[in-house]
Amino acid sequence: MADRGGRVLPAGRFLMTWHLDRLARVATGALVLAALLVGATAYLVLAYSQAERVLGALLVGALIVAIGGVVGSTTTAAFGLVVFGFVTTVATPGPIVMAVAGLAGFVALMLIDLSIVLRRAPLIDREIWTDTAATIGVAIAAGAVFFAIGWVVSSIRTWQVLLVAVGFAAVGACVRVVSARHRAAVSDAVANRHT
Amino acid sequence: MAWRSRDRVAWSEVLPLASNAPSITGDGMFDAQQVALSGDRDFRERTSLFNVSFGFAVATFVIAIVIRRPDVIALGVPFAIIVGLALTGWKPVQGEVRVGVDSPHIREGDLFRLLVDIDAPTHRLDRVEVELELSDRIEAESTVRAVTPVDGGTTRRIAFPIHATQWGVARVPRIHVRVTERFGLFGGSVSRPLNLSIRIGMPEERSSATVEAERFRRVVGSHLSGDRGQGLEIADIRPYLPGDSARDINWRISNRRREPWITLRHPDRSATVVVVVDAHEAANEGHVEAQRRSVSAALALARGHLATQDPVGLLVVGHSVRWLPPRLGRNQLYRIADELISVSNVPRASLRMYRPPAVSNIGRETIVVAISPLRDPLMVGLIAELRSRGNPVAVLVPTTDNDVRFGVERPTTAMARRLAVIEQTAGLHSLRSRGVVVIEWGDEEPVTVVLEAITRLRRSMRKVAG
Repeated sequence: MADRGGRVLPAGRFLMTWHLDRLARVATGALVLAALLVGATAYLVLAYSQAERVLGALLVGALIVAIGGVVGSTTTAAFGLVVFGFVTTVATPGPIVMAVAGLAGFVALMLIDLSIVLRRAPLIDREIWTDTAATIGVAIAAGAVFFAIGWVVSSIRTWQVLLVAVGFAAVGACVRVVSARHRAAVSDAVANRHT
Repeated sequence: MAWRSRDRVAWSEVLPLASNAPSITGDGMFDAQQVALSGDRDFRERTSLFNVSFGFAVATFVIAIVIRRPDVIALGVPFAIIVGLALTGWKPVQGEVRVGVDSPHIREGDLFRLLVDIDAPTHRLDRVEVELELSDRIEAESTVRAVTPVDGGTTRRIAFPIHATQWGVARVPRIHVRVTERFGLFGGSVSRPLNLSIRIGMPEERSSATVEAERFRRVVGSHLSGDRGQGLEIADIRPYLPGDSARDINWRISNRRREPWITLRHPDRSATVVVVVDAHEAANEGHVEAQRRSVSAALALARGHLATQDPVGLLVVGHSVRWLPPRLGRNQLYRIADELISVSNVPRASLRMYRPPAVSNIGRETIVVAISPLRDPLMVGLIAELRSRGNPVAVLVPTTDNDVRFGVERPTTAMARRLAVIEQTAGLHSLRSRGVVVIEWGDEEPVTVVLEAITRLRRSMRKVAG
């Protein structure tokens, strides 16, 4: 279990009390939102599903995500998303619904992570909400852009092979830039530590 | 100025400060303690959200290739994008957290604020979680946990309203800080001990309203005026007798009468008073209340005597000895109040020290007022010794009726309790037989019985003088 968030668990209080406290006071909103998001995605996948009898499996995945949210574990929630994603793959609802499902899964994970941060009714600066909204917006926008690019590339038959190769090269370049930037930041931090 | 409970403060306050924040104590923050957030690899860890997102993105990519279905990649695209953005935008955490209080003087019942300043000198800290642990004697009005971002080059101040529930020394023993970047994929947390002590004094009305200075003046200010002593005011003259000091010879009268005569003087109107406080252990609620009343009475005594220009000293006897020599002035009252706060933190089953060296510094004409439950024979011995040296001694014994007992008491415990009561009673009789004024001070009685104690003390002093 990753971050239970209980470093300052008051003496004499049981874990169940901690969970109830967390649910009842602050994190409820984020958890309900995450559960609704996963539920709506399940409904969407079911509506476009080309396979039979996937509802039960989807609900199992959604249930595991919800359990992960309640116990404050992003790892558990991620396991639920893996189940959910597997069932979505089997259902074959089409690329757009797949992208929407992936995005919804990530936003659900972010909300669960936020609910862990908001345990024990903290003082919350307003910027936290705007930052979260901006982050979700960026994820949606960037996902849409990448998906659109991929969609266009896949629809061009003549230059498809060439464009796919260029695409792979672009992804590789991006990874290289990102890793170089990250490595520079780490070495900067290490240098500061030694000074 | 301390925050009074009647002055309601906002439930939460997160206040931005100027980028060039002033020094620690010059910014309305007292007793500040610092925790550095820089150069600590604890803040460069991957969170579980990163592991999950990265794993999901890679898994969907691999599965898409294996089963030859490119649409599966769409599932993992958002995860891959966020991981990429987090890796690109990550910057090392550099900062500092300072914790202090907003008031130098806090009294029981006050609502004060614990201030937490978070500095981000270089980069923005996207999400900082701060949580404090509180000891006994203080309680959070709402919460001691906050989540806030801090822009680079600025300081963010968080104010937690705290209620001082009981006098004594309270502590903020530990702080927990967690810093993550915007996406929550990188970050870490530290838990550091703090050495922040908060001294909570007795409420003002409790210590001042009970004993009025004027009433003390009437009783204490002149209670030695009938005796002979070493003051400035002339009382009488008489022929020289063997044993008289040559310094007392009145040369003018001696010259006129052709034989040595001496001048007798009244003692100074101001009498030196030493308050002895027994820092007894507070094993249950009754003892805690007795301890509180002891300190309250000691503070009231000191305040009353200092107001009438009597030098007042303090001797706290317990697991350690604290001695303040008799002095005058308001600063002495503050020193006494500060020392009395420490009485609240007596460790249980501690080794107690008696016959402290400070006893020899107490003058023989000094009035000693001891405040003790007299549960310990060693304390009885100390008071008896002071009395045997000739000091006028009064003892206030705070008694309580609500001695809390938990569960069914074993016969041996009950017997031990009865023996302790017998021992205490024997100590009381022993002190009374030595001329010590012993006054049992019940739960409901006001501190005005202290005045009566002083009156009886006056009588006992006359007996000694006679």
